[in-house]
Parts: sequence; C-alpha cells; structure tokens
Amino acid sequence: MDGGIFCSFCKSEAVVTLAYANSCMCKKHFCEYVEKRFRRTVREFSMLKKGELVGIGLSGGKDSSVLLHLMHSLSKSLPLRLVAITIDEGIKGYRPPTVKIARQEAKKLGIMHKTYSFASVYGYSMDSVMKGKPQEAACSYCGVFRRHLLNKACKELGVQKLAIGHNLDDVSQTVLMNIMRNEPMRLLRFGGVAGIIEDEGFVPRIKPLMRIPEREIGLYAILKGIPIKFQECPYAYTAMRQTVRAQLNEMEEKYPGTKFRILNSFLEIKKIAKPPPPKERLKYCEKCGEPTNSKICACCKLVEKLD
Amino acid sequence: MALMVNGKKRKMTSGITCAQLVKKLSLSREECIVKVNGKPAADGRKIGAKDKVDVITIVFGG
Ligand SMILES: [Zn+2]
Ligand SMILES: [Zn+2]
Repeated sequence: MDGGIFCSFCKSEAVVTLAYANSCMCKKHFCEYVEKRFRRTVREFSMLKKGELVGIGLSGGKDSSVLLHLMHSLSKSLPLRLVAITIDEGIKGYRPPTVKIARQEAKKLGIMHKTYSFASVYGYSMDSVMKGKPQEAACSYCGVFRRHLLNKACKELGVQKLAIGHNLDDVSQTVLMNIMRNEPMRLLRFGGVAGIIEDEGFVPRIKPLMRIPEREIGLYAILKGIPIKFQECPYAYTAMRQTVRAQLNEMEEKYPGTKFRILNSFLEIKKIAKPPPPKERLKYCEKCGEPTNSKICACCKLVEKLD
Repeated sequence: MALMVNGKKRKMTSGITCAQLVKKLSLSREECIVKVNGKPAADGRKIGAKDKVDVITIVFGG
C-alpha cells in the first residue's frame, strides 16, 4: 500500500489520527476506543441502573443514531429496556428523511420506537410557526417545544432516564457559552446527568457521548455503516454557538486536547461548587401539568401566543 | 487525484497528505473526514495520482 499510515497498536492500516492522544488507529482499535469511552462515561456518572426503562432521543442524525447503537450493545451486558423517541418538528425537506432513518435503525435493532410531532401535539409544525417570523426566533421556539414534548413523552411511556446524543463538541461549547454569558448557576446545573433542576416532574437526562468528539462520532457511524444524513437544519441560526464552534475547532487544531480539558476543568469545578437551591419550589403548569416556574409553562404560553 | 468535496468535483494536485489537503481546502480537520479509495484515512496518509479522494463535512445535525 502506498503512502499508508499504520495503527499505533497493531499492523493494520490506520483510519484516523487522534492528535490529542498522539496516535493513529485502525478501524478495530478506533471503534473499541469509542465504545470504551462511552461505557466509561456511563459508569463514571452512574448514569444507568440495571432494569431501567431508558428513552433515547433519536433524531436520526449521526449523534443520536450512534447513541442508539451503543445503547443497544450496552443493553446486552447491562440489562436495560430501551425505547427510542423521535420528535418530528415538522420541517419540510429536513426532518422527514431523518425520521425515516430513525424508524429503520430502531427496527433493525429491535428497539421500540415512538414518534411525536409538534403538529399533532401542539397544532403547529415548525414550518407553520415560522411563517412570517425572523429566522433567529426558530431555535428558541423549537427548543421550548422539543424539551416540553420529550419530557411529556418520557412520562407517558414511563421512561426513567432519557439519553441524549450531546457530544464533546456540544458540551465544551455549552461550558464556554455559559461563561461568556455570565450564567454560572446555569453552568453548574449542566453536566453528564440531569442538567435540569431535580424534580419528580423532570425525567433525568444523561449524556453518554459527552466524552466523544463530534468528528469521531461521524467517523464511527461511517465505519459501522450507520446511515447518516449530513445536513443542516434550514432554520439553524445560533450565531454565538457557530462562532464558539469555529474558534474552538481552531484551538483544538493548534492545541490538541483543548475540548477535553475544557470539559474536565468544568467537571472538577463542579465537584467542589454546589449550585444554590432554587429560590422557589417548582410549580406545575395549570394547563399541561409540566413543571414550571410560573403559573403557565413556557410551552403553553407559546401555544397561546400562536393561537 | 480524483477529488470530491461534499459531493462536488474539485481539482488538486496529488503528492500531499490528507491533512495538507484539508488545509488547502480551507476546512477544519475537526469538521471533516477524508476518505481515500472509499476508506477513511489518517492525517499523514499520502495521496497518490491514482487515488480517489472524498472529503465529507460532518459537523451539522444532531
Ligand atoms: Zn489497530
Ligand atoms: Zn404547560
């Protein structure tokens, strides 16, 4: 083979260079490395208990599809009951192909799959919500609906934990953004488990991929033949996150391991800094019963505004 | 080399490594994967005149 590079651990051809680990890896060693980090993260934060019913937020994008496969293989050694949950925001041209992938992948692995759509639950698809609205409003509308619907769906299904596909890039960006926006309390609530205020009305969220860089998740998907659509949401408008992502990637190229160090610093700080208890007890929305800070939750307020 | 970047044909002279190719395309190595002859390749992989190269941007979507 001409110009080939070999795995640092065996004689096979390398498929990746991991600059932060100062090594090259073949397909087998790289996949094992990703799987090991996933399992270690689950153990490190005691994310899962034997026999639990675990929901997997499955958009059909690369992160959640890889999460589905890793959770499925974990469930062979740690008995878990899995259900994949897809939220269909109603974005023409963008969401239907990934909903199809989500359904196919869940079926392939024999995992129960449920789809909930904004349109059928709230009466509005994202496309109809966005008519005549500025592009920058999209992510906040979509985020409010999605969080609300995922939590509601989990409770309906009896899900005890919800696994989401946030990767190392996502979490290191979030840590930096919370610092840049001077939101230290919000930052301290962030982490591998929960993320939201502890309350029986909130299904705890876990992030088993938080120690895996986004690029490695994409590579893992390609190597394992997990179908992926590399496509951006037509409403994507997250100016600050895009900037942070670009800068962070530049830093990572110059100083490999930067993303890991940001996450690890944050986790060390979190160990010694406990967030203060919430000022008031959470209330429950008068309309939908979901936990909220006010009489009516953000989601129901949005729906009222749209009606 | 026969080069495709996100499904579009591009021109580039061979004899460089995958990492150099990504730089020349003004992409970030954190945001893309280079396949040589259908297989993902390490940064230092030299690209020959007969190689078929695909560069895929992977950062969008979740
Ligand atoms: Zn190897
Ligand atoms: Zn409500």
